[in-house]
Amino acid sequence: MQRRSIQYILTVSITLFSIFIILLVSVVLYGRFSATAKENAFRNSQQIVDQASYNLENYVEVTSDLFNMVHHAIGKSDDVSSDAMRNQLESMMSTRTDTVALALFDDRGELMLDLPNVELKDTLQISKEGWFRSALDTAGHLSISLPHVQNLYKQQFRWVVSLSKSITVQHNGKQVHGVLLMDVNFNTIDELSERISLGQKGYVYILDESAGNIVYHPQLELIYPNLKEENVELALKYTYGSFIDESAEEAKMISVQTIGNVGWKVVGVSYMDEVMTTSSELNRSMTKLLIALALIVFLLSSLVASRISRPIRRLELSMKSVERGDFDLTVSGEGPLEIKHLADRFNIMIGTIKQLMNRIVTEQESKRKYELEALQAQINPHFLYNTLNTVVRMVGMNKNEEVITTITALSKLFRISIGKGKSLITIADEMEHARNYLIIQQMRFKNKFDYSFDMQEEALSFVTLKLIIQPLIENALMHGIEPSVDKGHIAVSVKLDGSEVVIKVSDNGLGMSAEQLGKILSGTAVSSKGSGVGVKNVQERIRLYFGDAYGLHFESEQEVGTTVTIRFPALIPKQIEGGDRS
Amino acid sequence: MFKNKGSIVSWLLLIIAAFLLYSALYPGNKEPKQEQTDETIQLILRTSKGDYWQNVTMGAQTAVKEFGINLHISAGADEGDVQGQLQTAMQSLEAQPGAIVLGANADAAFEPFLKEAAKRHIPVIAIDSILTSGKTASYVGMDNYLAGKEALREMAGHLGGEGDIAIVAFNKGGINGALRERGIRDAAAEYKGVHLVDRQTCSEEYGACQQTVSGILDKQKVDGILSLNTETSIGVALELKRRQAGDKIKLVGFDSSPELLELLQENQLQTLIVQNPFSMGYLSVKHAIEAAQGRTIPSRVEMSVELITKENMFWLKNQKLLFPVVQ
Repeated sequence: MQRRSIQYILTVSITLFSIFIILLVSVVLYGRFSATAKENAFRNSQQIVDQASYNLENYVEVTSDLFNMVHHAIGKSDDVSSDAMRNQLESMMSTRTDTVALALFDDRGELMLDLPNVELKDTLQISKEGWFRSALDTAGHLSISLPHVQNLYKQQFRWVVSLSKSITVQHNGKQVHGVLLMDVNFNTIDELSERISLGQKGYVYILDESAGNIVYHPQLELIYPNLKEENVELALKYTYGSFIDESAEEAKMISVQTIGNVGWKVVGVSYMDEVMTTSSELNRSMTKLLIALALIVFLLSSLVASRISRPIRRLELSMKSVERGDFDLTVSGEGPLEIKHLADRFNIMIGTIKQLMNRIVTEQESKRKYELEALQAQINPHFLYNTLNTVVRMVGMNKNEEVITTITALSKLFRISIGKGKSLITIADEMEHARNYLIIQQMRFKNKFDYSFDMQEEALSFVTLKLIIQPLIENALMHGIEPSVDKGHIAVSVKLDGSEVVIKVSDNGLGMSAEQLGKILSGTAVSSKGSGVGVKNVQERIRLYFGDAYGLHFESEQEVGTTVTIRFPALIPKQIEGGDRS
Repeated sequence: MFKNKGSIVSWLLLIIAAFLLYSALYPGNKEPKQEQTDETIQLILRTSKGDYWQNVTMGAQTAVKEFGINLHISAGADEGDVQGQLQTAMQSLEAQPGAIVLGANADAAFEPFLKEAAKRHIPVIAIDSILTSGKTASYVGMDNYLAGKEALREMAGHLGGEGDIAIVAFNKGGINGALRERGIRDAAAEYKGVHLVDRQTCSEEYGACQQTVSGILDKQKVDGILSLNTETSIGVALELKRRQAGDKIKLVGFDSSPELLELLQENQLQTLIVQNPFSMGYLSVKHAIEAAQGRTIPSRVEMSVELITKENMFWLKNQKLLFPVVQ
């Protein structure tokens, strides 16, 4: 998997998250807003339609009242054809400009009275007209017709709404059944409806409830030839309320209100795109807002992310130069607190590394120094000179046996001490070295001392630093045995103490004062006659190799003797192979 | 270098964001209402007189209300005024309307106008009568040739497929008149028993027309008369009424007027072939808007015709067609 940078992760995740939240909020808000807008539109449209239908209802009622008044007046009159009657009716009709005509027919369809006095069509047969028949059949019922072109009068085709009702009148002294007809100009309704505006395109139409015929429609001419369609089914289904009609190409809102007294329905049609302009505007604004916010969030988050990731990257660069070996650098901890902490820790770490490295350097230097010293000591000319002197003297005394012993010992001594240039040898070899040294010294000092070895067999296979016992024996001879008048004894012992090797070199010589001990350990008392490898050298080497916990331990008592104990970990040759850096 | 580029991009994004924010918070009024087009449509009528052309105008006004455009209306003095109408048409080009709806009085005379309109890339939509002298975007109107055929078939129906027929044409009938007449003649050939025995022209003078018709009737036995427009139909019907020959001599006419309808009721004539001028006005303006906006429109929009008889004239759907104006 490809690893992403912090900056990338932060930028992308914050941006995505924010966009998600913004989207969520927008959707919820938009939903609420558009629902409210829709409600408002519904209410507005419904109010307009309600108002319109109220006006119409009122108009129809007033007209019906007038008709009833006329009906009443005629019914009460003694003679309908009298001039008084005519005058009374004329004045009643004149109160309203929209009453077109009034006509009274008897039950055979003969005209008894008409106002104004207009000639009826010759071809007309009133008794066969539908309205006339139904008025006679349902006595006392006022029927209001659909708007239609009045076909009664000569030279006149007027759009009217006809009100008709059966009536009983006094005509020529007889009681006659008949029908009263009043035509009201449709113009008023037409104008009333046309004035109502529902947006730029919206309109109102009137529907006849019983047959589903359109009473009024501003585009009636387009509906009959099917150039336009009006979804009257939906309007017929409801008596009141606002609905959304999505049957057509453009969604429309339809508000319905029923006019009770004529059985008409006023239907308001508004176009959704007009009604919901605020909503679509809101939509556009929201989209813009969303994009703007997304951009801002993106910019901000990338800014924040770079604020966080830049110090980290700087830190990384600093670490890179440390990687290349530049330990003197201090990393600056600019940036957030965490980065500062990180930088501080890093600086401390670098300090520690620096310290450790310095120590390694000094340790290596000392090791080399001491090893060189030990190496030099292997061929100490004084020792060689004394030994050879002894040999010469022996030869002079003809002590051949002893000469051979001495030379053999010397040769063994050198073989071991030169070795193969290794600084570590087995304890067995080191013991052999010490023994040869003691043999040579015994020859020199003519049995001034004797020696003993006490070796634990298991310890012999472990390794030891080379040339650590010989200097101690030399020290014992020089400070313990040589000055003493009695015959001395040197005991060397090796044994295991747990995981440690313990080597002891003890003598029964003069012993040492504390002062002398200090001198020896500080390395100031180096015998020029000796091997030249001082006790201090031994001590330092053991500590360098095995640690400060190990090394030499002196026990000395005046006139009793000195015991030096060496302690170091028991290691088999393999274990130290890698650690042998010399 | 990269850093520079990055910050430039950041600033750019910030500016865009600020702009979007501004326009989101202040939705300016520069955004035009989508439905409202500022198209101007020129409507040139044959004449401003008569119910027919008034209905065309009403239809056009309905379209104006629906689509929210500007409509300029001009008309010739009368149906024969070719030069006057041509002049009006040429003038209207100067105003650079989006489209022109033209009910032309003549065909050939409008050739220069159509050429000029094509040069200015103003689509012309012919209504009522087709224009063949130049390029028009569309024709909205009835198929007069088919209507003529229809008239003769109707007449043949009234006559029971047998009889002598005379044609009374309008002297300013123009293209439509010619097409109707050709349709009648072609249809007459299909009926063995139907013979075209006479053809005369009339003007809008009813009196003169009555005399012409009287001449026809005196000259020969005539069973049916086909009159090609409103005026001639009235003239013929009045003459038939005068002679009380309405029952014997059948009359089929074109177009309608209240007078004609009354005569129809009196059985002086039998059938009227009626168009829907309101639809014509509406549709022509609707298509003119589409043409002005560069959309493709049908090259021919055929208006249906209604055959009006005494029986169906007061049907609900015919009332509005025959009596469009509420008064």
